[in-house]
Amino acid sequence: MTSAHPKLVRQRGRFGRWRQQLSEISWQAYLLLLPAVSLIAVLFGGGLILAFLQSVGLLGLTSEGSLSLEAYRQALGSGEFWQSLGLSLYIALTTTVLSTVLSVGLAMLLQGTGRWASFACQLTLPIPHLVGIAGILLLLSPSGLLSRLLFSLGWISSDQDFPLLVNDGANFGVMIHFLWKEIPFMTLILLAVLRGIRPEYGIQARALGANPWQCFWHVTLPLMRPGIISASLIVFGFIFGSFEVPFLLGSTYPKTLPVLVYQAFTDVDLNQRAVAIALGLILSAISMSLIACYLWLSSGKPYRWLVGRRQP
Amino acid sequence: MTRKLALLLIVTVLFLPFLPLLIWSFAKGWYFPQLLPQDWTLQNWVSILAISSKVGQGFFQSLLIASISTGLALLVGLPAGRALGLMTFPGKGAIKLFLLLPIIVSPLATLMGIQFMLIRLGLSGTILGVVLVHLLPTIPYMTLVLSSVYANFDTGYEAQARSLGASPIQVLWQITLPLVAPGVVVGALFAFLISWNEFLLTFFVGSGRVFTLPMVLFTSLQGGNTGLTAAISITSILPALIFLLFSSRALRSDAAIGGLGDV
Amino acid sequence: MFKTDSLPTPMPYLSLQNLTKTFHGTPAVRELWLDVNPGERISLLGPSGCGKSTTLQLMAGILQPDQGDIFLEARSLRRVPPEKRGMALVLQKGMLFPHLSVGENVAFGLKMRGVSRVEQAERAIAMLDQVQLSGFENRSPSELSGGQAQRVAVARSLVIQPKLLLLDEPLSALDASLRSDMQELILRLQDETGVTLIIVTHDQSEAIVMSHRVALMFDGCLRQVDTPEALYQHPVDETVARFFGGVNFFPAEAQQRQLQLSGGDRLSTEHPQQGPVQVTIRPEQIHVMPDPICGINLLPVTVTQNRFIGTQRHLTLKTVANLELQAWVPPSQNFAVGQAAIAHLPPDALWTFPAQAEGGDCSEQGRQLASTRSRLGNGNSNHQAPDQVEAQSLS
Repeated sequence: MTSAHPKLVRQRGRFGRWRQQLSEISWQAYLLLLPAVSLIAVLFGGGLILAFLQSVGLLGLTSEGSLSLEAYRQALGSGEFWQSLGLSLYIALTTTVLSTVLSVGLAMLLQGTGRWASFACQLTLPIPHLVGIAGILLLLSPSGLLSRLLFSLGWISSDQDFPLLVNDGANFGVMIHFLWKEIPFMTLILLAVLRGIRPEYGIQARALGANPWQCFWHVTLPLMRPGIISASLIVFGFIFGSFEVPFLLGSTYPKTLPVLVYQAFTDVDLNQRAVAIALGLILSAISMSLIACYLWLSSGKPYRWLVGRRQP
Repeated sequence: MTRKLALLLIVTVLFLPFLPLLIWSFAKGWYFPQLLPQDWTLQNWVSILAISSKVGQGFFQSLLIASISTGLALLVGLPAGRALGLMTFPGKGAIKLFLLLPIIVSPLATLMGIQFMLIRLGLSGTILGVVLVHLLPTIPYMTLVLSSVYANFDTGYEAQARSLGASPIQVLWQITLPLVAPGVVVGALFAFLISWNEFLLTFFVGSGRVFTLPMVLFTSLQGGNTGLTAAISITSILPALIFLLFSSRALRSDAAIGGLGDV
Repeated sequence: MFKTDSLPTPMPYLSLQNLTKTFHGTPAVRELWLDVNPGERISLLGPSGCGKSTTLQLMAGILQPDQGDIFLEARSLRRVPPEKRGMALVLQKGMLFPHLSVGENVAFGLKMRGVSRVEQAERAIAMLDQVQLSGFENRSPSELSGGQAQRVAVARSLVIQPKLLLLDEPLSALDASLRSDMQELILRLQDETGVTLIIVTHDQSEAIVMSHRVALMFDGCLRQVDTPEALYQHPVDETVARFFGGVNFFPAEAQQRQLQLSGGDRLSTEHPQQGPVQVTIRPEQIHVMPDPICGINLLPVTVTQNRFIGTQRHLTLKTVANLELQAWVPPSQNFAVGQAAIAHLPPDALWTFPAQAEGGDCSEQGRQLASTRSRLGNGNSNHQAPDQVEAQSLS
């Protein structure tokens, strides 16, 4: 398209251009988005607001209270909260970084193996987390299948010799489960991204003297970046807020933040409910700000992600 | 060759956790050092299929909830996906991010807020309440998948059909929907699976009265009957198997995969 | 139907009046006026992004104009949805509905009009015969070659007997040999049905083959609407001339039929003009001779470049006054680089337009074009130029 005719632009001015931007097509778009956006706004936004009002004592199950930050004081005041935060961050960061690196490697390795690679990656995709948890428990517990296998091979002499991999202090079980579930998921996305990158770029880079490693580092990886960012974002957000996996596979102390929230929520003391909600809100706030930071750091120009230049 | 081996290794590792589940569901007393059970039984499966079993009830409640929330998500996701996939407008990125919030931000606080409202409305512990909450993750995924499906849809077909005399309604039914159908199937399968697999949301707003299959599995996992747990686990995978059957064909398009998310 | 001759100014068959369309603050089509006669073949020609496809979409009703109106058979189309306009569209990629068979594709428009199943089938099969695709009705569009798909697309559009057939770059995806076959087919079908045809293209040779008149667009404006011959011989300005392959341009001072070049040479032309002008001559119309002869418009030149391109020889010539000219001569006329020669510029081939008249306000020009053209029909384009001069000096 050629540049705007100077005279016409001058006549329309700022207001005219604004009105042009919101021309018929824009209104149509907003109208089409209205049902989805309003449902999410009511459910997600409304839920957050109600939660906030409850946490500061303005809304209560039993009585209309008065404004108080007692719940936040209690939540942030306990040493357990900080331990839980540390554990949640440790699990989410370690697993996300490991999944991302391994998925990029796997995607590069499996590139060109055709649709079978994608199909293999779909094996764990539709499996409920709870089923995965059950499988990991029966596989890795001291009396699990792996332990029996090692015993029959004579590598261990009793189930006591098998290393503790579930409900362990280091939360290996939790991380193994997430890696098992999220690596195929990320690899699947990255394989789709890789298929969208034209191989000519790589050939061109090689022709210009790049070795395979330079070609990967300077050409393929930057082209994959939007896909990597959005996939790791979803994975991080999910792991950070996940409840059932650390609850069933994780260490008994300290607990992850979501487990802590659950514990406060189901406490017999109803006052703990406000604390649970305060903890939940803190959890949401932390994940939102971490995501914002990540977007900021990973793109340099974070608003570009918002403008949506590239599809995730 | 190395690639084929790597692929084989990956499939094996991914399949590994299913192995003990399969064995356990047919095992009769399988004690530690034994590599394989000495006695086999169908008892676990029989008790699942019994009329009185919670599993059957959970299966149908899950089916109902997942079907309704998929239908609703489809209803709002189709127009939203079209807007995000085909149109440019101010604030597009912000709206997209907003729609993704429920799947990247922990839903716990939101859940406790919604729970408060559902109690007031008398919807806590009802199927309808659970369906509403299940819209939180299904709408974002549905919108994501459908927007990339629409992004690969050529509106030229619609213009072509209009100029040949089709009204907007006729275009929708006879051209647009048939052409985006494969992508819609993927989106619907996704939404269905997300709802089917959802535990946390049901757990919080179901108040112990809505007992979907994941709830049954969770309870069983905390109990001691390993054989039964294994059988319930395998039952929970049934829709996933159907999904895999479909996916080899429907997921062939990168269009739908591009908008993929976690299940 | 009304009697045309009872009206003071008979409305043309199709009339685009003052059409304007802006996308996000950027004008795509600006104040466009164009009249089309029934049964006419007219092409919208221009470089990509000039607004020609937008114009077509405005006609088809896919887009709504910001300003202006379209009249078909004297009826305003402002509030008429695309499906009620009776126009059929053929797009670049054919756009055969992939979920329908070839036969169902051709019958689609009839089905929408509630034609009975039997008649749908009969007419679709008859139409497929006409595009030489008998027996293809049960195939899937994915089994067709590009050319076959495009023929089905044309059949699908013609079967509804449209008032207007709109073709948007219909042949640009086909390879060269197939393209000329398709051009012949479309011309034959247009001849048989008498349908009014509007074709959008960026390919000037296609526009020339396919149309009675060519409407040339730049930057959303109509620059010149004329017969293909007139566009070649008498372009309204340098942009148009360059688009049609013009390469020789030089300034001069005109006094009626005399041109005074800045280097001192004098030339005469058959096209009178006054004041400072830009002169152009098509490279194939310059004659180059090795030896001096008697006559007018002869310039002594030196050959500075000689490129053999197969069917022609492209010579670059330099006059004594350092004026550079391109001349395309038969390949048998060989010249050595540095050789002296005589260039003959025939008076009827020397065309002029006023200097510094580029890119004025297009509305004035457009309206002028529309009105003069519709009165003059396809006629004598020599009278066109003074009109243009007037229009441009007004603006």
